[in-house]
Amino acid sequence: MYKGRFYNIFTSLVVVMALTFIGCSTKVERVKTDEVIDLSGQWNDTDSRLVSEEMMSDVLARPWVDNYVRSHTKPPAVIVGEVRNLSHEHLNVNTFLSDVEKALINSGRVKVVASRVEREEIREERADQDINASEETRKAMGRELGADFMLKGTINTIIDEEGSQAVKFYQVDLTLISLADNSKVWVGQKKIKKFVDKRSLRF
Amino acid sequence: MNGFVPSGATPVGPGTGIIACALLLIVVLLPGCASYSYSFTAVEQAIAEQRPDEALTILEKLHGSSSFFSKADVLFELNKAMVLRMKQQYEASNQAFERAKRLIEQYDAFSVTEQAGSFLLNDATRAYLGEPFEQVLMHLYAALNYLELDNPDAARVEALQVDQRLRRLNSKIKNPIYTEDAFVRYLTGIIYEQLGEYSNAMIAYRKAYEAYQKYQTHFGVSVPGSLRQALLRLSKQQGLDDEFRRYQETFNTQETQSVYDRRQLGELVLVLNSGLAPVKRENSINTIAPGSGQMVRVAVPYYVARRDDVSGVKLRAMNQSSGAELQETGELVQDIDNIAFKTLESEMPAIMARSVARVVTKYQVTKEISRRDDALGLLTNIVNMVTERADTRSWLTLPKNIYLIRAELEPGVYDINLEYVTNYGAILESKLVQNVSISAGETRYLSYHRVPLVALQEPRRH
Repeated sequence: MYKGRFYNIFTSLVVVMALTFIGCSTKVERVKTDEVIDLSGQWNDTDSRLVSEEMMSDVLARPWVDNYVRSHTKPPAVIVGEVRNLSHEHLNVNTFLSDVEKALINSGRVKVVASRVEREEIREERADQDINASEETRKAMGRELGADFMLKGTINTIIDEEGSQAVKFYQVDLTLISLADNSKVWVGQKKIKKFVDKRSLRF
Repeated sequence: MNGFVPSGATPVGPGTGIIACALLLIVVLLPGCASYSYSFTAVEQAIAEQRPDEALTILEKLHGSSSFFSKADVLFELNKAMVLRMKQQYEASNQAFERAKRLIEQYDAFSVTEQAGSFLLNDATRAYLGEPFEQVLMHLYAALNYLELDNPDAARVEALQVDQRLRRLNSKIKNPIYTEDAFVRYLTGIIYEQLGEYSNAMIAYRKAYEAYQKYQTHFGVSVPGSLRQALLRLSKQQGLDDEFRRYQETFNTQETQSVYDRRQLGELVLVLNSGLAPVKRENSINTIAPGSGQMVRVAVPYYVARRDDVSGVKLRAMNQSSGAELQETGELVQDIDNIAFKTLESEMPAIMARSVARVVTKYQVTKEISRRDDALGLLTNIVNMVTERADTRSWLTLPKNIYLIRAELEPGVYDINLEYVTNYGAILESKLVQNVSISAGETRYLSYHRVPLVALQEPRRH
C-alpha cells in the first residue's frame, strides 16, 4: 500500500514538473522581410512598406513631375519633411520615412535632398575638409542643392473597440508643397483597416 | 469538489498522493505571497534617501525572487519606470511603461488557472493589472516623460491612449466614483493647446472641468484656477459664446486673456509630486469553527496613508537678464490618497465575497479530506490557513499628491526655485533649476517628486 502511495506522489510530481517546463525553450525561425506577420494588430513593418510603396508610386505618376521638368529642364529636388504621428500608437515614423525616401530615389525621376539633421553632419564634415582635406578633393561650402518641394504628412488613427474586438483604422496623408510659393502640387491618402480579435483566454 | 477528492471507498486512493504533492508544491512556492507591501520597504527607504540606483537594484532583486504565486510584473515595470524618472532617464522610463502596457494587455485575458487559484488559495494568485487609477496614471507619467524630452507629439499619443483606456475601463468596470481622471484630462488639454489644436484642447478642458466637479464631491479637490482660465480662454477662441458666458458667470470673472496674447508669452508647466501613495496592509480574522474544530481565516486588505507634511508648493522664477521675479503658488490637482481609499472601499464587497467563498471552499475541502485521513486533513487545514492572505499589491512609488503650477513668462532665461511648504509656510525642501530658457509661444515642462523620510514611519491606521 505504501509503495502505491509513493508511486502516486512520484507520478504527480513528474506531471507537475513536465507542465512547468513546457514552453521554456526559445524558438527562432527566419522569415522573408516582405512576409506579412500580424501579431498585435499595431502598425508594423508591413504597413510601413505597403503605404510608402503605394503612395510613392502615386506621387511619381502625377503630372507635377513632368510639368516641373518641362518648365525647368531639370528634375525636381524633393526634401522629406516631418510626418507627424497623430495616432494612438508610438509607431516608428523613421522606418516609414526611409521607405519613402528609398522609393523616391530609386525611381530616378526626382532628386532627394538630405534632411536637416543629415545636412548639419555633412556641413561639419565639409568644415573639417576645409582645414584638413587636400585642395583637389576639398568640397566648397555654399553649393548645396536647395529643395524645390517638401513632402509633409500625418498618420491618424480611429479605433473602435468593444470587449476583446477592435477595428483599427489608419489614415496616412501626405502633401507635397512647393517651397517657391507654398502651393500644394500633390495630396495623397492611404487607408488601412484592420480587425483585431484579442485572445480572451490564457493559461 | 468531487473531482478533487475521489469518492471511492478506499481511504488511500490515487487522490491522496496528488493532494499531498499539491500541498507540498504550494508550500514550496509560497514565500513570495507573504505580503507584497512589506517586501517593498527597502525600495522606499532607498528612494527617500535619494539613492535611486540602489532602489533599482533592490527592485530587480525583489522581482527575481518573486514566486510563481505573486504575479506582480506589471508593478515591477511601473515602479522601475518611476525610479528611472527620478533619475531623469525619461527614455528608459518610457520603455518600462511600454512594457507595463503590453503586460496589462496580455494579462487582460481571462486565466482559468488564476481564477482557480484565487478561488482556492488567495487573490494574490491573480496577475496584478493595476487599479483603474493606476492604469490611467501610467499614461500621465509616460506623457510627462515625453514632455520633458520635448516631444509633445509622443505625449499626444499618450493623451489618445488615456482616452481609449478610460473608455475600456468604464465599459468593463462599473466604478461609480472614479470614471474620469480630472488631472490627466487637464494635462491632455495643455498638450493639445500647446500643439495649437484648440478644439481638442477645449474638449479635454471641458472633460477635466466635469471630472473636477465630481472630484470636489468625492475627493475634496476643487477646480484649479488655471483650468478656469483655460476654459474661458478657449471657449472664447472657439466662438462658443453661450458656454463662455456661462463660465464667466460661474467663475465670477470678466477679464480673459486671448489665445493670441498668451502666445506672445512662454509657459512653464510644473508638475510637482509629493509623498508616497497609500500602502495596503492585511487585516485578518482567525477563528476556530465550532463543531469541526477547524481553523478558519479571513484576510482582507486595507489602505494606510503615508505621512507627508507638505501642504503646498511655490515657484519663484527669476529672469536672468532683467532680474524681474515672478512668484506663483501651486494648486492641488490630484489627491491619490483619496482616490485609492475610495476605490478600495467600493471594491470591498467583491473582495469580501471572494474571501468568504474561499473560506467555505477551504472548509469543505478540509472536512472532506479529514474524513478520510486525519493527518492529511490537518495538513490541508494548515496550508489553507497559511495561503489565506490579503492581496496587498499596489503601485507604491506613486505620489500622495500632485500639485500644478502654470506660469506665464516673458521670453528669456530663468532661474527656477521650487519650494515645498507646510501648512504654516515653513519650507521643507527647495530646489533650484538654473538656466531654463523660455521662448514665446513655447511650453516647457518640469516635474519633480519629493519623497520624505517621514513617509516610511509606520503610520496610523485608517
